[in-house]
Amino acid sequence: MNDRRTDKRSSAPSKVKTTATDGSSARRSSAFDLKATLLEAAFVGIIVLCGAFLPWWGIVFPAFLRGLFDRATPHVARWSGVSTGVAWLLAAIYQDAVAGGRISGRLGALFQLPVGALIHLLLFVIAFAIGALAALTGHQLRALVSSLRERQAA
Amino acid sequence: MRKNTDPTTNDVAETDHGPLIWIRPILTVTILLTLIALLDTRFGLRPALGPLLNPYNGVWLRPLSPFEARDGKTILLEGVSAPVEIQVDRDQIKHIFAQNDEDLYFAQGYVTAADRLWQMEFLTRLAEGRLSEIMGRRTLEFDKYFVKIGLSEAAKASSDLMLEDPLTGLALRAYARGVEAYRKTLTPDRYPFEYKLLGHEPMPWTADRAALLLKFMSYNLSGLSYDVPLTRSYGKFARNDFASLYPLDVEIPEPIVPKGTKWSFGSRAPQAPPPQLFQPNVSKLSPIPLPHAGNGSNNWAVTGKKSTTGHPILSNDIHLGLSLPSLWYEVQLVTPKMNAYGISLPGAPGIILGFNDKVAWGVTNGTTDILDWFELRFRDEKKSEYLYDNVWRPVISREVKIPVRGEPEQTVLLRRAHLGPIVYDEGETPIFPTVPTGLAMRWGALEGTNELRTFLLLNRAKNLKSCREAIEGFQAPDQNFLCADQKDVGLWHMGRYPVRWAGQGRMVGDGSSSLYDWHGWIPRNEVPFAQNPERGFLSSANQSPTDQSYPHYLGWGFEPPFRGMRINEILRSKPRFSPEDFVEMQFDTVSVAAKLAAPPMLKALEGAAGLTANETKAIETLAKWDYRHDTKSLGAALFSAWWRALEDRMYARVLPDRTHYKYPEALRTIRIIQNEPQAKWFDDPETPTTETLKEASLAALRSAMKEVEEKTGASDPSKWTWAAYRKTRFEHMGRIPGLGNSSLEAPGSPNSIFANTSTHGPVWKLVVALGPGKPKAWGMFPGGQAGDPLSRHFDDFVEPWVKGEMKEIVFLESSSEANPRLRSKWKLEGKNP
Repeated sequence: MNDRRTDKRSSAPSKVKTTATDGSSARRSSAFDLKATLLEAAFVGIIVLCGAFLPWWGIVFPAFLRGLFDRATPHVARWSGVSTGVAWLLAAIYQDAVAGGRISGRLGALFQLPVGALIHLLLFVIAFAIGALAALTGHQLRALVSSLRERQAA
Repeated sequence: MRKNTDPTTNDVAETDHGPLIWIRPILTVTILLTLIALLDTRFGLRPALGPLLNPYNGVWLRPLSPFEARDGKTILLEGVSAPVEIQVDRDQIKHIFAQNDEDLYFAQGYVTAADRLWQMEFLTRLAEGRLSEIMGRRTLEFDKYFVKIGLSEAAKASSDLMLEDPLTGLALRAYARGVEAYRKTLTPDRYPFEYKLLGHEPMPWTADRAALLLKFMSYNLSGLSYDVPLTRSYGKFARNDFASLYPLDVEIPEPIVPKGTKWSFGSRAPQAPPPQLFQPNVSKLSPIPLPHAGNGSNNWAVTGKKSTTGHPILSNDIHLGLSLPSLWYEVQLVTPKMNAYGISLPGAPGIILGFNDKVAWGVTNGTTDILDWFELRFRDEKKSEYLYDNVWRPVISREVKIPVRGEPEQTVLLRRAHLGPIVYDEGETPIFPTVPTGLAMRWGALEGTNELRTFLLLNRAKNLKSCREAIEGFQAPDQNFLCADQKDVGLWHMGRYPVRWAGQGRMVGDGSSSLYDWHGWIPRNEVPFAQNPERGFLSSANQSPTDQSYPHYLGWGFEPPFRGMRINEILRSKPRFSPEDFVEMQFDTVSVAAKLAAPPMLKALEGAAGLTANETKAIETLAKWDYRHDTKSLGAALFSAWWRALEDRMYARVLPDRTHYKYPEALRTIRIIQNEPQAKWFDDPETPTTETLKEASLAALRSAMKEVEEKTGASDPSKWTWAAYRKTRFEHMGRIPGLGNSSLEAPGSPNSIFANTSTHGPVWKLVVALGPGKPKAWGMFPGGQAGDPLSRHFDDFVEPWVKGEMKEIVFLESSSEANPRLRSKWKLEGKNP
């Protein structure tokens, strides 16, 4: 998942401290990283638990915390968004399958969508947006705190 | 400043000390919180997307009835005195076995609420004028209307009567406790679908709410009348033309009570006042639409001598608006003293229509006019007093508050004369358009009545005599009650009918004179009635209950006789009938109106010159048509459009539209077509020649072909099928888009036995073969047992209904009886508080 910009920054002047130089990006860029995958799955599991016990917007908490503390994952916001979306999508597809497709059909008709299954896309987009923005907030807060610390140290 | 501007990577320039390091998180969190707030907010009736789509407790977590679970279990509930067993069959029909009445109705309330809680609340709110509290402004006019006509006041008077009565009082209280026992188990994440969608909580259910449902049914069946549209038509025609087109003595080819029945009593109605005494002020009448013609029903029964079983067989199908969820809920109710099966009205205890181990009963709407409008003469512009028999009487006024979701309460002014409510003041816009302005309404259903007692007694009836005892207290909406026991059949046109002079109430009456008031009530032992007729069958289809020999005047606006004619035609066609014959009959789509009208209309076209190839093809199609309205019928669409076009050609020059004016009855028009081809109604005065039926029929056919072509989208007449021309629509009861079904291809026509008008149709079909042993029965209603749109039982009966199928009813004699259609067994047991 490394992108061009990260690679570029790896060769940036050493005075710029980046997380990309700790090797995590390289780990992500490999074809399959078991540990990263398990961590991602654990995150999905946490989203599921939050869904079960918290209001719908409860998904911001794990995503925010991940953004705050996960220094290993590049594009943490994007990944959090994807994982949150997947956690919602899988649950919705399961419930819909149990109901024989009636839920997406009814909701699709309710929202006047041409195809009922588009409701799954809408649901994924909502969860992605909330998860990504929450993680980004955490991530940016960490950057702010680091910056203030560095300024203090200087 | 940092170089990297990609906010989604982790490679944040943590050494960035510029202002962006502050702005970015503030901006992001602002966007996040705004998005959450937007997704968590309802916009009017549009649901908040976040909670709705949350797959962990939004609509995805299916709040199905617990009884849809594969395995039954024991449920402990406060208020159950002895164990109640509930067998659930594969269609989610509950067969309830209780040891006493109280537990029985408690269990009925519990299982009905588990399937239909939202519907129960919705319909009672509608009748009560409290729908806007949950639906907002869009239902405010309905609320105002029902409040103004005083439906909830009438329901209050009825519930007082019902709660005082030992039988109905016990049932209502136990049923309400059962509903409440279920409602209290619900948490917001398990609220039924519509609650989640509309964002409101289930309201507490009290014993008096059933009366609201029954009053709503009265409104549905008798709350509109022809008075104003007919009066407006009267204002358009010359007097002799009106008398010819709208004769008071209408032709009655097949009355409900067989012709020739002798009556042992005479008329006590006063002499009609001379017509010149009062002429309604037609110019002041607001245009109001006609009642919907789709509400109706059929019932018929044969005696043992005309059945293959040697015992009576009864059939009933009732026609109301097609809706999802279905209006009805199928159930079996058993105690040691009763075993009844049929359909119930969710929210009311007992079975409304069905059968028990000894007796079967079915109804059709009586359609006797029990709603009249009266013109008042006010003293001055303040309209606080009106004249009645030369005395000025005060108009009684009071204000009522209507809560509206998201808005301040609305205040409605109720105004009443002694005759009844003045629903809309003169000059006021009748927002609910079926009601005229400035007139007082007298409606027989606006009184305290106890219809529930009739149905609970019918549930327990043992023979025709106890049937008669059950129904003799029935008041409104008047019904044709058909009962059959193991050897007899009987039919009563039962209701509380005012005594009126012939023709009274047909048009707007004079509210200032007691001459035009109702003159007492027709005694119950003088209502039209027939039992075990010589011909071996009885039937009714909302037509006139009697011929002209009946001593009392019952009204004028009965339904056309065509369904009744078809039923009787079939019943006369062979010596004996089996239950299977009746099942087949219920799906009959022949229109007798078409059978009478099409031949002379076609004959008039003989020798017509200048026909196009398509016109010739259309005429050939109509000539070959068998008058059936099956989905693939080719003549049905053409005839339907042709008939309407011909009617419009005859009357539209005088009557500007067919919605706000009453056209002459179809049978009268058919007689003109058959017998008066030169009648002036066929002539177009704008042409120099004099047109007859011949020219009118051809012009109407051309206009019909154009209409059918437009509606079917096909120019080839071989593609003009009935299904392509007309779709059947099931709307969601709360008019929530996407929860109904609007494109079904179903057969039937308003004049067929299978009376599908596209929005109305048979909402309950029943055939019962009685005999010395256990009765055998077949039933079907379009919809399903579940009220939850996400359940497969929400609409699983729709497809079989479209195909004319009826399922053999699982009628159990004991809770331990085996049947392959049973799925799970449940038990309700008492729990200490």
